[in-house]
Amino acid sequence: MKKLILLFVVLPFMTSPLAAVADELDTPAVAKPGEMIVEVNGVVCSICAKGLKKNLAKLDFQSPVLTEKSGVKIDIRSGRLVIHRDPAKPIDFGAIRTAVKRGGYDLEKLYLHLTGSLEEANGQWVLAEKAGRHKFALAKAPDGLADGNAVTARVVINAKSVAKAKPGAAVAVEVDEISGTNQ
Amino acid sequence: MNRSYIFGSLWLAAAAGALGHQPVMDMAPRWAGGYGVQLFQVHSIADDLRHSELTLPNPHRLGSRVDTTWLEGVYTFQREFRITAKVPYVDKSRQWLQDGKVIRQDGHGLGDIIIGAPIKKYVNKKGYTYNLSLTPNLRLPTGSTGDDWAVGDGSWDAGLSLSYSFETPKWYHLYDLYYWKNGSGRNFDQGDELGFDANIGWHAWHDGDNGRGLFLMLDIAARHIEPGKNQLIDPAGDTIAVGPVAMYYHEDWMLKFEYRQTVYDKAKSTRFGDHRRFAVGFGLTF
Repeated sequence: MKKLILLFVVLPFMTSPLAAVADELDTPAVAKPGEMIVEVNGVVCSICAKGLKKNLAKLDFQSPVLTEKSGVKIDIRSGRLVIHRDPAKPIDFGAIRTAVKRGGYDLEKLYLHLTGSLEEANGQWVLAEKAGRHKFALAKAPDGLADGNAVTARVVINAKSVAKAKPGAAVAVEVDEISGTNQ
Repeated sequence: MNRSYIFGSLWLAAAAGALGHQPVMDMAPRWAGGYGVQLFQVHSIADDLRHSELTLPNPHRLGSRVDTTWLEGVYTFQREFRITAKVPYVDKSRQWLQDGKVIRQDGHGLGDIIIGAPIKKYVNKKGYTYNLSLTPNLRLPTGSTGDDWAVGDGSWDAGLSLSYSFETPKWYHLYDLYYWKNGSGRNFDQGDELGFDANIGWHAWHDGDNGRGLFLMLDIAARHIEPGKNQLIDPAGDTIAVGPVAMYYHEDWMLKFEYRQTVYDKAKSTRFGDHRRFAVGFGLTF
């Protein structure tokens, strides 16, 4: 009996340092045009994430053509899933959160590649997507760009901003990279 | 649709399957509405005689063999709550001395069905996930009590398991402490059981493009069984068994192999010892 108790107490401490050597996950995600990268906390195995993939695959803003070709891709080292969206269809951020939750996990971030134009009103900068009705609120004024410029950008939306997102309203984003394009 | 990546770690199912009392799968399916099935064949033999920590001479070649086929199922309502069922079919035989003569006893048929209701608290972080589980179990008296060596004792038994698992892309731990309170049987009583299981695994190979891989794991099982009543051979005592588990997974299915050998054995009264257990399992999740 004593050995049993000793085993129970000692073993987790003996082996935890092994498990604590988690992968380095700080590699920045780079969304390509048409992609949405969903970063999810706790995704470390693909069987565990099967339900997550199933739920994300049901989101109706996905591009049926691209999704059919490549599906929802998952990288267990980074905890990121790649889906393909149709920019003309409205993104339902609430549905993304629900899909992740029903899949058994917690949303951390979304990474998007956007193409559109800059708008400035009362000091608030907004990127209005070209193909759809989405507007994304930038945290600060983009360097070297002006109101009306056509731009491409890679942005990050954190879980709090996703939770606050409302249909028709601009969603707060952090800009990873933004550049002007010729119209 | 490309379905690669779907199954990365059905080994988690294997890990949980290694625990005889445990519900079917630990981490999967963790999604709402998910379910899984597993067929698990366990072959156990013991051909030594043990009394306290001594191995006794066994000139009559006394021993036992137990083959159990488990059909296991799990349904997840939401990640915090699931329900499980384990249905065993048992085929067993043993040779023992009674009144100076070697007797042979057999038993076979449906065993005691186990229903479990794991309640889980998940914590998901970047690069790792862990959960705490509290699992009440009920063992139904469905096993036959009529054979020479009865498959079941005819009692309702209650179990409680407290477990913790921690997982990264490369490592997996599961620790489980459980207790079975065995009720009064028809002709004999099995003693209560306290157990501890540890599964420590390494994700040795993962092919993300094709959704397949290999897990290797060390399985440690410690048991303390209280004396029962009116049993020809009382399994009471303390044991520790260890062994490897290998699990290959590919897309929607997994195949696993387990071996476990007793390394410490202290019997309350004379009984079989030197248990070896070999198991093979096949599982699916949906």
